[in-house]
Amino acid sequence: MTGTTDANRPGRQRHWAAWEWLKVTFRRYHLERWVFLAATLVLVVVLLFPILWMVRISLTPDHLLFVLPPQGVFRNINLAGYIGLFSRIKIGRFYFNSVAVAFGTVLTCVFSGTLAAYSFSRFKYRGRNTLMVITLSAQMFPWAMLIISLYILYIKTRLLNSHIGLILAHSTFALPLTIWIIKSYFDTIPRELEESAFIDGCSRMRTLLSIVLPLTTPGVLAAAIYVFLFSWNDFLFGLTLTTTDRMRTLAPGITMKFIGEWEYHWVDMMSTSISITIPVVVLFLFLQRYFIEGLTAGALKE
Amino acid sequence: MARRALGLSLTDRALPYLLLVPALLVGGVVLVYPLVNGILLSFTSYTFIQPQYKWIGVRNFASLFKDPIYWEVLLNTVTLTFSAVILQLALGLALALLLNSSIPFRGGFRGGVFFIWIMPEIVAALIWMIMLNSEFGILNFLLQWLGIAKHNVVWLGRPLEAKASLIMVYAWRGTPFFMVMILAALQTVPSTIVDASKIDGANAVQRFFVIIIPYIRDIIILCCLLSVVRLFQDVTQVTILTNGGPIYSTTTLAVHVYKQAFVGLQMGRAASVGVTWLIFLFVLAVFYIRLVTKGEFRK
Repeated sequence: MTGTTDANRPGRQRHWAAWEWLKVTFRRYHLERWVFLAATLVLVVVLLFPILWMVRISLTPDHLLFVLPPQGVFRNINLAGYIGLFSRIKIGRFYFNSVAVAFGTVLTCVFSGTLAAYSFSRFKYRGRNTLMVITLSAQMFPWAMLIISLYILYIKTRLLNSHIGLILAHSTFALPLTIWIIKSYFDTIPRELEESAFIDGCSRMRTLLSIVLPLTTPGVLAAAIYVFLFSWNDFLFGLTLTTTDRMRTLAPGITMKFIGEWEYHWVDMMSTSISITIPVVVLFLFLQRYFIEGLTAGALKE
Repeated sequence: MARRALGLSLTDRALPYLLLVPALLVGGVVLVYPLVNGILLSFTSYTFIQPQYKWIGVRNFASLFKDPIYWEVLLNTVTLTFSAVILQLALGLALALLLNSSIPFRGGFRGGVFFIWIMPEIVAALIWMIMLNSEFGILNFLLQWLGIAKHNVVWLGRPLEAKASLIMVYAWRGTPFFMVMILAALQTVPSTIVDASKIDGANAVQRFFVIIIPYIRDIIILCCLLSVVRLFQDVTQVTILTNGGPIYSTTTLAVHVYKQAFVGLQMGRAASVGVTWLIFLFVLAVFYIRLVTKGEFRK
């Protein structure tokens, strides 16, 4: 009994010493920072690889496209995919439709969403809770089913294949989110501010417009960004609620072109994909703060 | 003067409702109406060729529940969604913890990864379609180069592999969302408590489970719920990558509804599948609303 513990002790001690040494060295040279950095780098590179690969494919000359291992990544650059964007693939019209629909959706959502958010945030009345619950659960309604009814409704009202029809469809799905983001900003503004404005003789609407709204600009901006993204990125509504090339938006437009007609035109597929992504990148570079604020708004109130 | 005072009080009482009018108009016409109409449709034999609301009772539902495909679709939805959410959580949490330490370029890493989440769905789907190509795709090449696989894997053409591919794409897309949300939550953990625990001799693992997890638990649950909702809704990525196949192996509820309506042109039947979805919705919504509105309604 005692023999075994004696025999174990030096080994365990050596083990323990090595562990101590490791801890001390780690602390002295801040090694854990480097381990964390290395782990982060590996994860980030793996996650971003598909995006790098998209850029690479969009610049590959045709004869190297199916060559593995990849060759001439930096030496042979082929810009044909980008030059042909507007002539061969004719995405100009899709671009116009997407921009028109996205801006229409942003305007509709921000206008009606701000007013509704103010109402939810500042007043207590019958039906408020019910309406708020509907707002919150609206994003869980089965879209695929709603589209069926929308499609039937649009055929009857001739909204099928129109910008207004798409704007309405996108708005409904983006509106709940808008209301919720902006409401969480309104909630953070102290009521005393408005009350002092009333005492000075401002009307409700006047207070909203000139005192509360300027303070909520970040919230409105964050909401507007998400509405824009939703509309710009949408594929399903665009695919279902438009029927001609003239009215198609970007995502369904290019997909209809590539899947089917141009199955293996990878270069064009990727250069077009990049051209759809660029507006999102530009927005993101300038407004990154609002992207993240909008996402965490409401969720991290307390 | 008196008339003006009366007018003011009237508008004041009506104001909250007036402010709601634009939102109700938009939401009512294109959200509430389609939902109600969809439920009605599910009790009719409405098809694209015979567009009439002919009442047939619960016959759509009866044939649905007898259909093995429906149950397969249901199982697919649950499998794909939950596997993807677990992966998203694991990866997102790991990244958030790493980025919450004092490493350089944190902002850059966060921005780069977050970009994955905001790029158009269709672009993500097309990239993966190219990467997963069984003959010329880079993924097969990389796996063999690293010695993980011996032969080309037919990613999108076989049931099991197709499911795995979708889970992979979903996990990739959703990880940044978890990362950003958890990172924001981690930054609300007061540093005084963390420091105190260090002085008291708690190690990193203890600190994580006893201090950090309770602080970020609500956010993690919220992220999981939102992610489940998002994945439930996805038609785009499945349509582009596998189109629900091979056979029905990657058809989810949303894809099933969409394809029955717009490929099979059986609107009534499709709506009945959508209605069964509302049961899931109800369960999720109860959790979600409780979580988001903690104390909101009693204010």
